[in-house]
Amino acid sequence: MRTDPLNAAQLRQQVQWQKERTWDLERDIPWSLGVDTSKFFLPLDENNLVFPGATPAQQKVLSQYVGLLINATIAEMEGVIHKLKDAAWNQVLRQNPVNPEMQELGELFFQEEQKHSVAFSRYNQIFCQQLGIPEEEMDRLLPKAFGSYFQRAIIADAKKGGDAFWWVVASVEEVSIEIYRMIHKFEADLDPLYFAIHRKHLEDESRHRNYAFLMLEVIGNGRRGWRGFLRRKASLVLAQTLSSTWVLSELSKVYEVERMQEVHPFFKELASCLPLLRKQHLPQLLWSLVVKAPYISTVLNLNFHRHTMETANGHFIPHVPLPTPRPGVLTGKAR
Amino acid sequence: MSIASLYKDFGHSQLQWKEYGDPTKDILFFLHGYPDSPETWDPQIEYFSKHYFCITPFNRGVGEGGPKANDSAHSRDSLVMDLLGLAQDKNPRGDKKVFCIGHDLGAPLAARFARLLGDQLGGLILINGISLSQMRGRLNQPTQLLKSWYIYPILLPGLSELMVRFAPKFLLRHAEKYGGLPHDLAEKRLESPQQLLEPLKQYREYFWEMWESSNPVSERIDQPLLMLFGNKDPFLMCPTMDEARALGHDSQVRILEGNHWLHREKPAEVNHFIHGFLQSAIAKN
Repeated sequence: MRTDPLNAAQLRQQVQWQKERTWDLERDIPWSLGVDTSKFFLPLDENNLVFPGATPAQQKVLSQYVGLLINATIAEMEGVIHKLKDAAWNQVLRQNPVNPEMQELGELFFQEEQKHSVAFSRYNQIFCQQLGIPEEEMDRLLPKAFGSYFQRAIIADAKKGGDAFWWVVASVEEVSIEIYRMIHKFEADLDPLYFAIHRKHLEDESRHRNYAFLMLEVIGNGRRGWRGFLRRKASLVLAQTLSSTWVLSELSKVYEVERMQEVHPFFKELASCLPLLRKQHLPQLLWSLVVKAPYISTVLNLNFHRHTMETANGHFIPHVPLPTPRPGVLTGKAR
Repeated sequence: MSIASLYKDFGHSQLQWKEYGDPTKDILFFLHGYPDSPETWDPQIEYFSKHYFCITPFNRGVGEGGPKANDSAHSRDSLVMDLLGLAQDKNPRGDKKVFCIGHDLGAPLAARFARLLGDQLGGLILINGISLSQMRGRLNQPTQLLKSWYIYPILLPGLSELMVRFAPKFLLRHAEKYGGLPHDLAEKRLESPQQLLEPLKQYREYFWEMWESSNPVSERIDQPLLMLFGNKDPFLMCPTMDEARALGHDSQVRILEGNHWLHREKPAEVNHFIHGFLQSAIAKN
């Protein structure tokens, strides 16, 4: 995992490794399978923490909705990265002492992130097409990072030399790997195409996940005045705050489904779950989302991001303290 | 590597140098820093003299014998004019490519020399050294100002001379230790304290020239540039691509794990990167 940004030989080897083992979006993903809409996309918590008392039909729709949500989140986050390429990457590499391999590795990293974004978006499109759901209606329920306050704030920070962007990227990389770790035991219960995309995603992520940490090292060892010093110390807190508020605000879009019940039975079934959500008090719900709820707590709770935490502690970068996660037992079938 | 020195007066002061390899090949000029002599390049000469004609000029006042240079001969352009004369002697038809390689105080010299070589220039390599315009660009960097602490006493005429006369060996050993050069890798030097004293004048000359050479065009080259740096150099911050591109648009920065005397500390790696750079530059030319 640990790579030294100055170790040219190691970086060259990684470039070669990534080039050799990269997968092709068209060839290596079994798109012809289509989406098996009778199956879960993600295993759910056995105790239905966020939607207590959900029926088997509701559980399936919830699993599929959370699956689409995860896809859309990764697609948005990894797609929006390109918008920040100049401010958060090019500029950093030009203004800090780095070897040429960091540039090459970065190009590969951005290419792969773009590929992942396309793969996850395409899956969601196929799902909508198969079920006859209007894509623009589904989009109203799924997260959007382009043009959001989150994106604008991260770009502004990057332009001022901040590294909140790379903390976000580092966390997203860890979340992607953590999500696969959670679902891989349930392969037989899940939609094969959904599983295949996440497995391919994991392959790339495990090869290039250190890039964000390399960039954090470069920025950490780089030049800065006292303003840069303070900005760096505040960067992880900023990243946590921006990404958490973005995730929570995007999650709240699920309430939109109440107005879309007539559009498609999928939305009707999803809307029928909302009363279960409303049964919970807000603090209890937030606690579940941050500490117990699978996937969402993985995104929100920094304690799941081991390498990010290690890097932050190694550089004495403060972060927002969060309770220790207590994820529940997962199941891939409706009960 | 023992070889007789050559001398010639090109009109400013006597220039002393050593040369190695086949004179029909492309030329590499190795310009040493302070408090070094051309022997600092021994690991490079041994490697490159098989394929290139290598010339290692002495900095003013560092060579043995010869008349003492007057103060004006310590200006950068004075020495560069001598180097241009030497290049003209060795490459009268201008059909060979000339590469300039500078370390430490030799870097500003190499940068200016490279600029004035015109079409003969094959490329420029700076090892743990920067040009004067690059140094001027760093005057707003507190880290660099702190790292340059040793220059401030040198700027006061008399003080540094007194210190050097009083304890030359101690200062040398301390400089090497501080620069991260193990004693067994240090070159044999200090023929006389005068060799340590004379280049101090260059620091003063370069300091004033730095203010005058604010225009990077005076050092800008069209040929390839390689900046090789040890990341733990206590005297200089590692360069960035922005800094390198201000000197030459076709530039590359290579940071290695190492200290100030990178070419002595890690000769194999340094030679490998220089070799790759030379081959690629020759192919481009």
